[in-house]
Amino acid sequence: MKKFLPLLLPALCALWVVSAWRSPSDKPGTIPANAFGRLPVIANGRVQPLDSLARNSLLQIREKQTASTGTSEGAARTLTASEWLLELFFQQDKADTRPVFRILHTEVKGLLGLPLDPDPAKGMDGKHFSWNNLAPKLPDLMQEARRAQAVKSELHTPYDRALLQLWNGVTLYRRLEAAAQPRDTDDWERELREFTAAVPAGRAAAKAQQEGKTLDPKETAALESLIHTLQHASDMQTLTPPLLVPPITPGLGPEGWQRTDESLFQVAKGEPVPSALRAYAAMGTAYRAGNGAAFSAAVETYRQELGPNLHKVLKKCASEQLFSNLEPFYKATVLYVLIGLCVMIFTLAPARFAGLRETAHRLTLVTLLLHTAGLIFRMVLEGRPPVTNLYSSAVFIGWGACGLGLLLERFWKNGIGLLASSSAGFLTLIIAHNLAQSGDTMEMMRAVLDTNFWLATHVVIVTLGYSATFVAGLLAVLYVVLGFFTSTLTKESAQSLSKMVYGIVCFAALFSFIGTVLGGIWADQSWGRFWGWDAKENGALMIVLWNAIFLHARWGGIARERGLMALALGGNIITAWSWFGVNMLGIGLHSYGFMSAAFSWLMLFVATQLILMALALIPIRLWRSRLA
Amino acid sequence: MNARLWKFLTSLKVTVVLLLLSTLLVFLGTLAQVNEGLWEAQERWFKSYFVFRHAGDAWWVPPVFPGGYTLGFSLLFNLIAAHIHRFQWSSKKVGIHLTHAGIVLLLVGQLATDMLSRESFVSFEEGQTRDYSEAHRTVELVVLGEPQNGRERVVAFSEAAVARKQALVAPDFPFEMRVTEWGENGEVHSHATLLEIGTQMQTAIATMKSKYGTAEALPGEAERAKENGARSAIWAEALKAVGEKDPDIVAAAKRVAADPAREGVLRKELQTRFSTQMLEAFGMRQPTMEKMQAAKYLGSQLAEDKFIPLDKLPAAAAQGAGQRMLLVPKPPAHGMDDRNFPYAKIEILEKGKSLGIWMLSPWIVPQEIQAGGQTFRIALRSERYGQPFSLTLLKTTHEVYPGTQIPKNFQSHILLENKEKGEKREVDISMNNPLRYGGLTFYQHQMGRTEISGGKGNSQLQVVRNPSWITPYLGCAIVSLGMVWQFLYHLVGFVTKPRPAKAKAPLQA
Repeated sequence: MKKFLPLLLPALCALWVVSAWRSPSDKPGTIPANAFGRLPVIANGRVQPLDSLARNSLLQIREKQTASTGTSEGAARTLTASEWLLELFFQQDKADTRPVFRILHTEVKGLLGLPLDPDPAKGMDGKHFSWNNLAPKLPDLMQEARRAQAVKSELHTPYDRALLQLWNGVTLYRRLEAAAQPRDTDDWERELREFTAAVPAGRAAAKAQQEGKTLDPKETAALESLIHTLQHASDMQTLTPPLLVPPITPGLGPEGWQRTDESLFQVAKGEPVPSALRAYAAMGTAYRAGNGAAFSAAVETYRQELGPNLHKVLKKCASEQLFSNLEPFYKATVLYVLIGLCVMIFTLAPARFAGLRETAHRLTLVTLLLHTAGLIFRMVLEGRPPVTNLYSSAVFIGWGACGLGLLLERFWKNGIGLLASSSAGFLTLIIAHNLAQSGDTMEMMRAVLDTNFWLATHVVIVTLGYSATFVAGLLAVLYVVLGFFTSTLTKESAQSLSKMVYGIVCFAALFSFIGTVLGGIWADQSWGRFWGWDAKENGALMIVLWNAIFLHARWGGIARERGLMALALGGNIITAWSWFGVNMLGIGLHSYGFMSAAFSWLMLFVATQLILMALALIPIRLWRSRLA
Repeated sequence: MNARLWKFLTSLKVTVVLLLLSTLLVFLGTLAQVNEGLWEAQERWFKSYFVFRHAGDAWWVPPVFPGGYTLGFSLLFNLIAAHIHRFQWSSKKVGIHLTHAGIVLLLVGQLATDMLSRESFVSFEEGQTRDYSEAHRTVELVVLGEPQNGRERVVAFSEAAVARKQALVAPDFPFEMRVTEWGENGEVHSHATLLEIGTQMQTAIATMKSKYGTAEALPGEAERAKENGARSAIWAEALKAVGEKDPDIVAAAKRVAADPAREGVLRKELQTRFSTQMLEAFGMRQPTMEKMQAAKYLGSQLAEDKFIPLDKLPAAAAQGAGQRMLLVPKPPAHGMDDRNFPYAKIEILEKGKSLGIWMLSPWIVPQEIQAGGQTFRIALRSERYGQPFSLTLLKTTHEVYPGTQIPKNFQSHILLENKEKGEKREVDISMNNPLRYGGLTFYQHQMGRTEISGGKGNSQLQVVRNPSWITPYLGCAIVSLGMVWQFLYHLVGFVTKPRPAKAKAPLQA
């Protein structure tokens, strides 16, 4: 077993990853939710599969990528995002019973008259509520939300924030509901058919009426049918649902897409009926009848019709669904934990568990490959360099740190590099996971940032600088924790750690300087000043200065081994500040908005680093490891 | 110089201390931006020799701290002196020398940029032509004479000259000017607007107050307020102030109305709260910027129960537009988005005889004066920088991503005309694609659509003149070269060096 483990475990993990690399399929005979999820839509300014729209919407409403049926029809069952969206599109009365609104704040619950505690009799868990639970008190919610919206975001109380988050969710829910068909219609397919048939006669009747002629009953009926559906369309219009109807004319890009309501108005003007309208109406009928075969046929016909013009769009949507299903970064997180465990057991008794270092080393290679594949997949989907927003910066910092750790391991072969890889990878992916809670992570770039050249150079290089500074800091954490709390830090390993930190800081100084400077050049090219003392620029400058302090202190013999470790720990604080803290200031051209929840985490992190810095500097006789 | 002192000044210890102070300065200067705004914080922390604590600063502002210039010059001195002191020529040191030479260039370049660069903007509508750009923050006093020989006569006095209250004399003009008053920031409101809006506001408030004039009216008013969420919320708060926490506001109102000790307090509370709400709403409802400003000013006065004699408003000046204007001096504005609107009162003297006093402000269009049988126009306007070429805004493009408000592209299509050089061509300026011409760079800044002028697009370009723009590029190239050299030099040495077996020992050898 000991002999095979270094081969077996990495191979099993690789198999686990590769086996998930396929598009999700549907069971024959059932409603094909996955095929539905692959259909294209424009939301958040970009073409995406309905599956992504459903997942990102659920993240915002329920803080999860899945929904639950609730206990109204027996035992609760999990609904995939696409299944939930199907119901919301086509069978709203049922969707309205699903407990998808996550509400934790007691005052918000109070406002809406919801129970504070779980109430098994009513099938309520006290955290998740359905549309029907909220509906009676919606006017109150709206009034309170309006009030909170008028308050500056820095002055929002936790109640205001919870309130606005819920309001945001409620708006989103209603927008999705209005995407495919109006809410109060019995048989949308029939209504649409009658509407399209009535258009020529209805238009003529409307014209005749304007000219002051009296209408006969047939004309009146045609006009009424037209008005009835257009009334529905204008109800949908006020909610601005996502753009579900692709352009009929070939060669039109994203700007040619329409919402269902817009499309209905076009049809009323005598334009041809887009296939999307008929297809979604047919899907609705099949869905409500539980007819899987008819649903599949409707989806297939629709895809055939889109095929010639939108071949690329369909392919992109299928790839994005595959990517969401593969969850490369989630799997990588799990593997980083496994690597960490292997290395920790190895360090406890290196002689006994020598094979575990090899296992961990190979596992790290597998994981880095997976991490890289995920990054590249995202880049291809977006058509962008790896870092475009805070979420992707976290993923990329983890990737860079993992690579650096592996590089260290090549030279020292003592497990320290692997420990750095796994902990950096794990922590950054957890941060990324939390950042993804706000919804779509592949959002479009605002005009100022819309330049692949600078995103590929400045952003990538400066982010690698962040990675390196964090790796140096992480090694310093290891040094202090092992040295102060345990007796396992020997003189030799302390020296090798110190050399590693020095090498990494050199790398960090180089990358953060070049990255910062490239940012200055971008600014000079874009708005005419090389340096503007903007918060994010200052953050990057502080990292450069701090790395310079470390190097000069070492060259001048001003700080010794432990002093340098304290400086490297300080680098953690400065990098965290530059990465997150400046966004919390809510100022400057680079700000991503006020992130209050992250603020307490940042403070906690800073506190731990300060404590470690203090421990690094206390007299050596108080350390458990004998380094003197 | 004393050898020990020289040694100390060139030491790495001083370098490290200076770098530490610099890091701290950058951090504090960033924090300061929250309260002081980007521009103000930059001037105070980075473009200064010392930062002194003011009254009203946040708790973390130290009593005194070295500013950006002090630290920059000290680092420069320390760096150059250290190189003079310990200069050695060897391949090992080439990288270090290059890096430091580049840093010297960067520091000097930033200083040069601070002193030599100038930012201004061009703001125009589709179809308009501009052959000048305007300053962000400074104004000038201009006198425009009647055209002579087909050329308009313009004399401009700088803001500094006006602020110093110098006598302003233009050789060609038959009069001179004396500045009697100068203010850094002030609003002007036309008497007519104040009268119109003020009357509406006072009537509305009086009607509202009369509703709560008697205790008997209270239950009925509470009954009416019940249907309206915002009104019932105000009632609930007012009731809380007299100790009623009952969610049923009608019942509570009845109780208070019957209690002579409390009913007066409740009526006062209701009147104050509803008038605050009404005053806010009034400002929002106004159709034009001018009326909004007037409503805001009146609101702030009425909220403090200040009496404004609307029919007897004081005139800002005895002559010109100032006769029908109210001047409200304000403290100088801070922050990025706020700007100052200075004002000046000017006495015009024709051959030593006073023609009266005029008030000037960027809010007021040029005013006519008669002197020596000619008509002149005087105004206070944003300082202008002329260009030997003109730009005409032909078309603006403002694209968003479909179904969202996220901007995708701002683009100004412009006709560039330089008569001297016989140049006439069309160019596009968009985000990340500036126009560089005649020593100036034009960047796309803001874009909008004017509703008033028939939906014409307007565009604002940022204009930068920076003769030292090349220094950071050069400096960065040199530093990068030096750092890469140094890094590779060590890396090659490290990788090719034979590793002792001991280093392979695991953590716990």
